[in-house]
Amino acid sequence: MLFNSFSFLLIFFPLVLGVSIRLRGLPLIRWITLASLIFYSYAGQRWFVIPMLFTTTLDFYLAQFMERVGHLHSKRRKTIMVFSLCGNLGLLFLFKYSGLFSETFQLLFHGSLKGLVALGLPAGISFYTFQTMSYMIDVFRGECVAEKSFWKFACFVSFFPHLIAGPLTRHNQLIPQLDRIEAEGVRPQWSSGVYLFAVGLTKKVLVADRIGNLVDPLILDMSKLTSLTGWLALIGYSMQIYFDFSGYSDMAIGLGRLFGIELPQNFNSPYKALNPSDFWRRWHITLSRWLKDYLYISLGGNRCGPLRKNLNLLITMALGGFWHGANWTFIGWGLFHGMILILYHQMQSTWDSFHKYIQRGVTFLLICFGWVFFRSPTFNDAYIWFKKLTFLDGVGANFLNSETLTLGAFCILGLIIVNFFKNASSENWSQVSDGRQFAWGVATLAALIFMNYSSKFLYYQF
Amino acid sequence: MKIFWTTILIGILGTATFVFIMDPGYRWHDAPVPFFRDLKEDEIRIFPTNFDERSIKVSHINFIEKPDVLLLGSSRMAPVSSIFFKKDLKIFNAGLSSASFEDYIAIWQDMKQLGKNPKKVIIFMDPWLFNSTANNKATGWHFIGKYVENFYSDHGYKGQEDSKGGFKGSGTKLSLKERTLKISRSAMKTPERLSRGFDLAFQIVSWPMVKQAVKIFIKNGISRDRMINLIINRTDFGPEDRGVAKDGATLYPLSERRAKTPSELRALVMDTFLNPNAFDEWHFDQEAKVKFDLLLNDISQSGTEVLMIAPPLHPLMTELLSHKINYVGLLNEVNETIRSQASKTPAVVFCDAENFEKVGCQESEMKDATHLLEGCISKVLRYCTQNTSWSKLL
Repeated sequence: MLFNSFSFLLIFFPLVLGVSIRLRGLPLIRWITLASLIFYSYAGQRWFVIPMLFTTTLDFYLAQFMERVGHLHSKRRKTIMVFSLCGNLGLLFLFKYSGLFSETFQLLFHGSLKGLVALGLPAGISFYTFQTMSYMIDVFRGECVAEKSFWKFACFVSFFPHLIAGPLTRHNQLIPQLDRIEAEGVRPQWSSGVYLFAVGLTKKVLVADRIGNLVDPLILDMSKLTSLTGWLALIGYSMQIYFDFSGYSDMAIGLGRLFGIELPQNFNSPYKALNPSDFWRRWHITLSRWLKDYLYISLGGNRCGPLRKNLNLLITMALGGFWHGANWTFIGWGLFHGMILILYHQMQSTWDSFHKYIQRGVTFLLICFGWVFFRSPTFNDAYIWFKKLTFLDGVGANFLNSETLTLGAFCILGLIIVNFFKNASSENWSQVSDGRQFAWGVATLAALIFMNYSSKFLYYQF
Repeated sequence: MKIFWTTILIGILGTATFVFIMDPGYRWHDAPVPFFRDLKEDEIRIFPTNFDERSIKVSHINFIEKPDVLLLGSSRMAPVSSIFFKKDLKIFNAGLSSASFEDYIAIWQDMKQLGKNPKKVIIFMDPWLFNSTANNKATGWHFIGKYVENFYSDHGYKGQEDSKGGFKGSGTKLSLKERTLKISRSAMKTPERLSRGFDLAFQIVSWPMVKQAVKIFIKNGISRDRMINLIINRTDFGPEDRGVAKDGATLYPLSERRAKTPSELRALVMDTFLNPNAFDEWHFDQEAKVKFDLLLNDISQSGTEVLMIAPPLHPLMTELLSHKINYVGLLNEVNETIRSQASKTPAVVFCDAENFEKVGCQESEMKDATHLLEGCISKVLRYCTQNTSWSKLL
């Protein structure tokens, strides 16, 4: 079930919200949890629910157990933590990465790793395992107490607005709000919830999917790219991934608000970033914070000298990249970002002395180059794409046709929006003028008309 | 928020009314005769995906002469056209996407009722015709369900309609456990069916429909006499093929027009395998077997010869499926069922062409995991007809 489907908009969501508004106490939490499980079971295959329930149950009981045994630095606590990490990462490895490792082994050693067969990838597995891992680490560090109610913990893990593609929500962001709605009931923020959802739907259906339909055929075969179509595809994909993912986040936050729950902001106009470091404070904010708090700092952060700091940065970004997908190119993408972050830190004073539009332009270009790794199925494809971007194979002037012109128009539109418009989640949606109401009504209507043949969200695969 | 909601509501109602009046897929109004005119040699007829192709196909039978050969099958049969057969033969391709035995029955029954049942029938046998999970999902035949009912009543087959609208075997008493299982399975499927129903209902305000309605309006005003536009030149597109689901406006998206490289093709196959597909939750459908028996016997009793072909899958798909628990056993059961039925029914031949290499197909001759391109189709037909009386058709 997708947010952008009529069955979700007209049956599932009104039913779940309608019943939720009438309930109080634990029945409300149970109802939202069950609804989330049903939502999830229709997000792909039914068995997807099993690994999620496994993670939920494992970490719920391990956290309880961990709290009962000894002081903060006891060995038993560490053992439980390791056990939990093995469970979560093992699950992730099994479903997400086993196929890749098996293929790579075959490629390198011409042998086969029997038993390592690519299983179906349960949607959102990377998101919910990271959520439960952050919870376990916080309990381990003594930064929070273990949740006593299984239903509430299950609701935190499976709350359907954020379940499939984030925002990655921490227990201390969601569980207190679940406590509140348990006591007070659901108080929807109708206006901001509906408008934010409409904005997300519009971004996804009217911009991201339209661009995607034009970009995909262009990069189906990298060797057929010309320099100009290569650039067009690059800018187009940069726009597609932003509008797709931020559209999903807006929808998720909007849906959360309709339940009276504030999910964390995930995007803050990332293409307005002035440097790579600024970009990661604006792009997929919840993941960046997760990586910083639980990986970068755990590795030593910037406390162990400049060389180690750079190494930590590279490791964090590489693993962050690998989190996105079971392909070595994602590690390439992460390393690329690690390197530009290091580069920026090395020349920060020079960089910052440039005019801010130059900083913004250079940052945008670097981010776009990173997307080459992210989008290419193999490093060889990425190499070909890069080669085309350098004009080494000639300009390829005969690229003008209706598709490339439309894509060009979408790119210009996208660049205008990302550079000159306010971020949707920071808008005041409680008071919207008549003119804007009409404009958003038309945009939503158009999105509904296009919705019937909309694609899945790009981040569903992660 | 009043203005916001009013804009959306008025917009949806207005769009739905406009599309209903223009009716680009002839869903609510009868299609005009010119659509069914005979095709010239270089023309093909396109069925946009927002059409109810079953209704159109059944209507089409009214306008054709009695064919020499009837082709029955799913979308895998769709690209098989007269170019594969001798020039003087009249071929009628009744391939329907996501076809089930009910679709074959409906087409056959309609042709029989009109006296247009041919002397030869070629059926592409998809293994999932015997997968009850896939059959539960194949509900398209309800649009032409009256022919199925006629067929069953001709044969005294008292199928009772279950909650899904499908026919169930007569007189089988279910145990409490079976009944509970049946009800829970049905409950599990309800959201999916509702979802499909909603998607179908809301197609009236979907972009492909709206786009075509606007196009037609600009070209012809509110006249509906434009179906002829859908007959296009063969050199541009494959014969009787379709665009991607829900993409009736761009019949052939750009990506479909490009030949896929072997690695792209393998990636596509992997994608098909990993996503929900017709091979999922494989349970042998005993009811499908009954329907299959009835159909074959009926065709055979009409004096018609039948060639059943099990076409190959992409070799990677075959390999991946072989890792699925029980798949090989179930596939053998399917083939055995077809073979045994073929052997006991006069004038029915079964050709197992599932072995990709034996048939001589190349990977580049596959369109995706299950669909064949013209090169492979030609080889399959040759493989299955060699040294038989069927070879005279080619």
